Amino acid sequence: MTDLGWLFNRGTLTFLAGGLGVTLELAAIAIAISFVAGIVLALARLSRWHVLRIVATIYIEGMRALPLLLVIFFAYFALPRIIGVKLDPFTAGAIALSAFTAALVAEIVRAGILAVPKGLLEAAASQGLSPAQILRIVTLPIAVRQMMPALVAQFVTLLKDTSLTAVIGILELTRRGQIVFAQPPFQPIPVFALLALIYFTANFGLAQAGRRLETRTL
Amino acid sequence: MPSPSAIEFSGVQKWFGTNHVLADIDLAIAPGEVVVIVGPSGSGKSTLIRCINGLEAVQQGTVTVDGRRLTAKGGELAAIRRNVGMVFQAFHLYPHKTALENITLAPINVKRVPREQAESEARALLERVGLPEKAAAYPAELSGGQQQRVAIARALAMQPKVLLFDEPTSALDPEMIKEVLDVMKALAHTGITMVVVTHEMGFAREVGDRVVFMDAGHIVEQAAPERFFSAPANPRAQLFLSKILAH
Amino acid sequence: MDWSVLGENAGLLAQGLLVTVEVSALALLLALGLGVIVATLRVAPSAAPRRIGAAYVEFLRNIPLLVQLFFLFFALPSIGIKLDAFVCGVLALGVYTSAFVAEAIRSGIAAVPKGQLEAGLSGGMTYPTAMRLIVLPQAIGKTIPPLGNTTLNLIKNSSLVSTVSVLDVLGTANLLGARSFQYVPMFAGAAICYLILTLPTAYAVNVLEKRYAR
Ligand SMILES: Nc1ncnc2c1ncn2[C@@H]1O[C@H](COP(=O)(O)OP(=O)(O)OP(=O)(O)O)[C@@H](O)[C@H]1O
Ligand SMILES: [Mg+2]
Repeated sequence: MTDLGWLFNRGTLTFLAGGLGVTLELAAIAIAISFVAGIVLALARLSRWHVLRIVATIYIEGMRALPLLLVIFFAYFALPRIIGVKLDPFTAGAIALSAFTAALVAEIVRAGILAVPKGLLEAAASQGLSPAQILRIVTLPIAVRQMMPALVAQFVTLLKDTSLTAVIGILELTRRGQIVFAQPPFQPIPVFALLALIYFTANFGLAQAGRRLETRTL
Repeated sequence: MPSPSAIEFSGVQKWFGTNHVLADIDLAIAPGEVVVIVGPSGSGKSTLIRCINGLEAVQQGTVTVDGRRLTAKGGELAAIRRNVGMVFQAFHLYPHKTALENITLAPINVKRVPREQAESEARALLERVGLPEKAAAYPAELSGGQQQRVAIARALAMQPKVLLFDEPTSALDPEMIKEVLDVMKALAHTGITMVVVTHEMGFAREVGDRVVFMDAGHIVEQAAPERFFSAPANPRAQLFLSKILAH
Repeated sequence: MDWSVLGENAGLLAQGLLVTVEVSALALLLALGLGVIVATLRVAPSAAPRRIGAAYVEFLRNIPLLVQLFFLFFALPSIGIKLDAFVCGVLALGVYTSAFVAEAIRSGIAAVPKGQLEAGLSGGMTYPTAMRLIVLPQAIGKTIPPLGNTTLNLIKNSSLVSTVSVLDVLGTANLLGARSFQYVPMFAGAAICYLILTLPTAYAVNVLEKRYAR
């Protein structure tokens, strides 16, 4: 264990850095999709239209009741049999992470929307703004500000959750770490220490950035 | 037949569940009139003025503004609302917008006024309510009195024919009440129709054309301020006045 | 798609469900025990234990559970510590979750107005007594909803033990899916198993949340 040259050399570090790149890419895609989809789902759940409300509620509550790992396995192994198209691991992983996180984001958004003071909506309505305008100009911006802490926490969770895609063979950080310690000199402990450090830094950084965003927008 | 009234209630009934909140309301308000509504808590004052811009719907009878009936339908309702400004007890300024943006938001998005024009009009309004230097301030950076004056400017930005005030000074510290009342007094002399729910009897006496006294959902007395304050006819109004003037 | 495999293998799935329940229950016990200790550190009157508690929470929360589980399963043997996969699962899940338990308890205590503690102290109580008699009883209501959510997450996270070859619900479904190539029915069956565990828990959390709201 004294000589860590096998780990701290250019080739290995580049290999792991590439894994971090995949992890961040996966997280970024899933954050973007789940944010938009989460808002749509939240609006559907709050909509006046019964069918929409019921479908959204079933989706959200169902997803929240299932383990992400099951959703990932499902997207990779089962979904292609349903839609008849083979999915590569990255696509399946991105779909699973987005679909799963969207349900959690939807609940955060819904709580944020419900927390917007009713009087503000009345003020906007009494000026003749249409319901769509009120939603876009008043409700959503205020709701998003209020839910920043919960959203950031959710996205920190998502960044960690990307590690689960290792099990369907996406070459993200955790998977590449496994590959490194499965080779001579077969020393997993330094590899895990490095993985922990990288994840910790990325998550802590994301949380800090979120906190700055919070103080700036409030 | 075109109505000469700016606002007209005829045969209005409203219930919240089994609670009869507005009972047999008939009320006509002339253009340019300043009407002050008083009455004990829960008597239906807020509900009454919220019917004037369709924030509440009535179950029987009609409410018209400028001869147009407020039956809650999307586009038509929004068109009437443009002519009716409202000022709330709790201000309800948009917290994520500056004072200037609060004022320009509806003109730009509803009336499609060009941004530059909307902003210069907004600055003129801020001048009018005595806050020319607060254009860039966010609501959280303003005192209650200042927020309420911005809210008045916001309501004026749509150039409404009618302004509704629901206890505009009740949430304010005593030293800020005057600055808001002064703005309202100046407005009262501009010929705009005003309906004001307030406990500020001095304001009612000074600028009100008429006082409407409500009790348990009924309008039980209406009179010119002098008459109402010196010799209320209704015993409930007498009781109300003796309580409110006691301190 | 052949849904009959689901019926044929219902017994195996039920066994998997039992394993999931075992892992979850044991890990929950561990998480609650550790979590209370760490929460105590987090609200201690002096700075040093508070910092240790904070480091514990931040470290565990910011590293993926899968990495922590793999560490126990793959890395510890390299220094001579060989643990059973089931034990690894319970340990990893329990320790990881203890950080969230500690955080739930800490934020519940923090939500009790500071004047309450000060009133107790100025009335002559010692710090532990004031905590026990005044602060903690008030904090419990605020702690129950987040603890319920943490429990829910723990049940779902228990599925990770399947990655180290424990045959819990997901591990069983995965194995049978691969054997029969009937992934859709097998995963649907697994989903039902999880819903049986999580929906009642979620419902209970909701009820408690409503009861303790404000
Ligand atoms: N949204 C609502 N749902 C049910 N009941 C309501 C609602 N709004 C008002 N009420 C009831 O209607 C009655 C009249 O209320 P309103 O707010 O108009 O009274 P008010 O005269 O403005 O009183 P205050 O001086 O306290 O503001 C009250 O009994 C009130 O409880
Ligand atoms: Mg009122």
